[in-house]
Amino acid sequence: MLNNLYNLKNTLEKDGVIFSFSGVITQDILIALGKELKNTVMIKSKLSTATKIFSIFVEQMQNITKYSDEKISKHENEISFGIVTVGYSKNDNSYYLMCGNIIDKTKTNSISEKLNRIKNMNSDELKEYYKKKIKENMDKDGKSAGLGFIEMARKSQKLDYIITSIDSKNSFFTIKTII
Amino acid sequence: MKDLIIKATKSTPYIEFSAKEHKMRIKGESYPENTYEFYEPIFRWLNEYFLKIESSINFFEFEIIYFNSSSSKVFMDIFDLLERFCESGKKIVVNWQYESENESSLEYGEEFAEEVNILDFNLVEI
Repeated sequence: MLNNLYNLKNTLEKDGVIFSFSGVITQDILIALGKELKNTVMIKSKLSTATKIFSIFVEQMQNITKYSDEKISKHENEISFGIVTVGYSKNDNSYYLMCGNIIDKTKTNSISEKLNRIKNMNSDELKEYYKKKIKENMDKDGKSAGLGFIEMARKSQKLDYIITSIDSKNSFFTIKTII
Repeated sequence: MKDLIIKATKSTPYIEFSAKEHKMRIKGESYPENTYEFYEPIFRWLNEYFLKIESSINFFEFEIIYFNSSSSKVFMDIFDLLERFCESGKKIVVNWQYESENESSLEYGEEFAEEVNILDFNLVEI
């Protein structure tokens, strides 16, 4: 285990990772990491790029806090687990943001349906779809307007996802965006 | 009627709704942990205000640097509510203020402007 951390650091660096965070995802962590992320991106890139990356980062982090099915209870609140990774690919000259969390297998179809619909839309189609969804009522859980994935797609050049089976009950859900 | 003042935090905007001055202002960044919970007092205040207070004109200023997707849904709900008050004869001016280098604030402001009908919705560069 003592050697593993160095290997992990090297692996992350090879992938151009700016930072990676795995564990409890809270609003406070989002605020702190988001601020650093914006500042780091702005050293090399334009403000508009930093703003896009920040927007996607917020949607990804809040997607985990709202929808991760790996949670612990703390002081009557539930705290979600997940992983986020932000990096820069030198080969493609682009930034990437990935987030992942465990989901209950029963959600697989509804998530796939939502993402398959938007991942091939062009920017005009995304804009129209966003405007349609913003007029609709919220999900019955009252947590979501269903705009998070669309916003990620609108702010990125490419969005993709994968759902990997863990066991009979759970899967791991990953979204990748390229900016 | 009492004013509604909510201090800004790192992820929630400054709110200043003044019944006496007929001015409502939302300024800052908006990506709360629970967006609907955060904005609920605003809807309550607006409903009470337009029921009780008569004014020849009312101003609503948005000066939002960044907002997440669930905040944009709430803003759309606010504009829908304001439209309904316009339909019942209230005069409301919304100024969506944006900084010139903030492309996405302008872009989303334009989209809201496309969605409203009778509300006097202005894009104002600051």
